[in-house]
Amino acid sequence: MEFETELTDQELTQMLAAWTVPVPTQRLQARIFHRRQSLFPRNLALGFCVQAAALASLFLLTEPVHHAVRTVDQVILVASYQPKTPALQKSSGGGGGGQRSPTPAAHGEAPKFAPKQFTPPAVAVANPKLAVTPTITAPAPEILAANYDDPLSKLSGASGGQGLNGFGDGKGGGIGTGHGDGIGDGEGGGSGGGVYKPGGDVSSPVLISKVEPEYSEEARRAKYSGIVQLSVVIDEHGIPTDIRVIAPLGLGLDEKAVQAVQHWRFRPGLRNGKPVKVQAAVVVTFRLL
Amino acid sequence: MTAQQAFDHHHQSVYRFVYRLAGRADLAEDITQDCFLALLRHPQRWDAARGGIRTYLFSIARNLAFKRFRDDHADVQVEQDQAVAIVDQRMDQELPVLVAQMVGQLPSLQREALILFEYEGFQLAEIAEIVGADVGVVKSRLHRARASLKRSLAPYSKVKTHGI
Repeated sequence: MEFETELTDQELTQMLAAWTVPVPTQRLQARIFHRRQSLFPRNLALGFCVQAAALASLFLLTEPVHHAVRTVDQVILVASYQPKTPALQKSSGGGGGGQRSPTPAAHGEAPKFAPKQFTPPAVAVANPKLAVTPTITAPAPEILAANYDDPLSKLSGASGGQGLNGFGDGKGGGIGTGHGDGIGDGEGGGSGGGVYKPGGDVSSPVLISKVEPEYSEEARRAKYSGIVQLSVVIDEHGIPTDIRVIAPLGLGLDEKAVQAVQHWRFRPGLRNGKPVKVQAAVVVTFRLL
Repeated sequence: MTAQQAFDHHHQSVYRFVYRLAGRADLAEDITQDCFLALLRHPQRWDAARGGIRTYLFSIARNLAFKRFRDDHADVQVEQDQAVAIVDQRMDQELPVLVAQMVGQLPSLQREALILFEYEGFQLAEIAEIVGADVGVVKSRLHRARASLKRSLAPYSKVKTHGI
C-alpha cells in the first residue's frame, strides 16, 4: 500500500502550516529599536539633541579611554535629568522615625532643621542628663513651635508613631516613613524624598578613579556599538550604589557597563561642606575602532 | 525605500525565516540584528536593479545563518541528534514540534528552499536569487524536500492513521 506511506501535496501543505514561529522577544525589539535610535539618520539627530541637552548640564567630562583590544570606550559623566522645580536651592531627601507606639505619629511642629543631627526628635525625654535640642537634617528655616511632631499628621495626641526613633513609621531619627534623619518618605537628610541631586547648594560628585568597561565577546563579534546610560547614587564615601540601567544597549554590554561602574570611585557631592548621597547619570559609550 | 522602512516592513519575516532555518530563537535574533546592520553599514551594496530589498535581506540573512552554522557546527549537530531521539520516543507529540523537527532534519539547502517557498511565499526565481543558484536547481531541491517530508510526516498524519 505504497500510497498510504506518503502524504498528498495538500496534506503536506496542511501539516506544514502547523509550524508557527514565536514573535521576536522584547529583547530583540529593544535591541533593534535602540539600534534604530543610534543608526538611522533621523533618529540619530534626535539622539544627538538628547545628548546635547545632557551635555548642557555636564559636570564632568573624562578623556576618551583607549581600550586594550581595538576598542575605545568614552566615558562621560553627566548630571541626571532634573525636573523643573520652583526653587533651585531646594534640596531633596527625607527620613523617617518612630517610637514603637501603637498609634501613628501625632500632629505637631517639625523640629529644628540643622545640617547635622545629634539627637532625633522624641515625644518626651524625662530629665535628660545632657539636654540637646532635637533636630532633623535639612536646610534650616525658622521654626517657631514648642512641640516636635509630624506636621502632616492629623492626630493631636502625644504619639511617636510606629517606627524607631523620631516620629512616624520609618527608621532613623527623622519624621515620616523614610530611613534617614530628615523628614518625608525618602532616605538621608533633607525634606523631600530620595537622595540629593546636584544643583543648588549640593555639589556634583567628581570621578577620581575608574575601571574601563570591557567589550563583551558577543558584542565584539557583532561589531556592536552604542551607549549605555546608567543611573547611580554616589554615597557619602564616593562609592556608587543603586546602579540602574536607564538606556540599555544589549549583547551583554549593559552588564559590562554596570560591572565597570561598580568599581569607580568618586569624590562625593558636598552640601554645606559635608558629603551627601547624590544621584547622577553615567553615560558609557562603547565604540569599536 | 529607506533603510528604516525596510526594517519596519521586513524584520519580522527575516526573523521568522532564520528561526525556521536555525531552530533557535536566540540565534535568529542575532542573525536578524546582523542582517539589518549589514544593510545599514553598506546600503550601496543593494542594487535595486538586481532585485527587491526583501530578496536582498533574505540573501544576507541566509549567508549569515550558514556562516554561523559552519562556526557552530558541533553545537547544531548535537541539537539535531537530540531532536531525532525525541521523535523516536514520543510519537504522539504535538504537530508543530514534529513538523519543525522533520524540516530540521532536511539537508540545509533543501530546508532553506522549502522554508522560502512554503512559509515566505517566494517565487522560484526569487529563491534562486537569494540562494545564488539556478531556478532548476532550486526547483529540484524543493521537490526533494517535499518528497522527503511527505514520507517522514506520513505516520503522523491524523487523516492517514484514523483512516486505516
